[in-house]
Amino acid sequence: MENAQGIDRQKILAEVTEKLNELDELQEAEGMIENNTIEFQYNGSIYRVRKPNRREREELRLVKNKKQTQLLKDPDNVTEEELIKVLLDRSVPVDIPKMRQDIRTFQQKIESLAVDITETASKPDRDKLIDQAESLRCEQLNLQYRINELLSSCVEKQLKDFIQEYLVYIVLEKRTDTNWVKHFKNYDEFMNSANEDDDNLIYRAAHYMAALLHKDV
Amino acid sequence: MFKHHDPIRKLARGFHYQHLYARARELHGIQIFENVSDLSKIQIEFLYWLALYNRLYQDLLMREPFLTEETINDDFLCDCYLIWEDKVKRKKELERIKNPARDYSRDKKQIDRSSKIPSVVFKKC
Repeated sequence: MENAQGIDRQKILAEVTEKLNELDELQEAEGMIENNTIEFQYNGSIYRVRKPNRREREELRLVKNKKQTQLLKDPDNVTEEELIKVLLDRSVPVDIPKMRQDIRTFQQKIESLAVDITETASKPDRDKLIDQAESLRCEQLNLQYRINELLSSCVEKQLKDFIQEYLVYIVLEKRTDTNWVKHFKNYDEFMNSANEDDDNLIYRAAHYMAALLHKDV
Repeated sequence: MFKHHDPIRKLARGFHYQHLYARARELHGIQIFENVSDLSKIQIEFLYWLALYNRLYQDLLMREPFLTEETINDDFLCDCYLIWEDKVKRKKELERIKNPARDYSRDKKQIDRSSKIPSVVFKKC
């Protein structure tokens, strides 16, 4: 809505909101890099995730091995390789290697467009190329999501998810008046947490954990 | 590579951290993070972007072709430029090292496809 001076208040408000969100994002990013722990607020309390120490890494290694053996012993579980074969042998075959090859082909096309985008001076021409690259990237991402979904039940994925959750259980801490204490006292308490708040907290903690660690320890 | 804005990259190319990075390279007492060792993944990524943007700002001063301030400030265009560097510029540089006698003056310049003005080549008579 414009006033007498022709000032569009809604537009200004949207711009200010965007700038404030950007500032929030920058502040959050700065908080994530200042040291090797990440603190965050959730439901009025302050939590943090940190890198696991040597003892915790050893604990994680042991539970990982145990879980892997347990998963492989179960005849209902299949490895990624077996699942790929099962999918290929279906009446309507799903060819994962071909889909992965398509992802690489998309990447080559995107990179070729990226070269053209850099060498193109005219903005309208460049925008057209950018749109083409964006739509290829969307197709590439959709294909990747589909592969992830199709392979979500394999042993490797189950093990990866288990390790990520266990890591959160190990390193998620809550600030008390004087110091930091483990949020979940034991793994049973972690596994039995059923309310939505805990689920959201675990989800956020896992997100920050991913920013701290290079690989699953 | 995708059209989004990564706050870590924005921080890395900003004046504050670029200045801190330049000083930290000259003076050894200056730290960028609270911890000096056991860096997290995001801290290592941040250092990568700090160094990369530092190089891009230097290249901008050297008037490298196709590199503009807009390119540096836009994650997507910057990614495109880095791919171009990797695929075209490096290849040309290697070629120059291998074959220094060739005439490179006619190499591809930035294309303006929308321009209706015919290109004119001035030659000495």
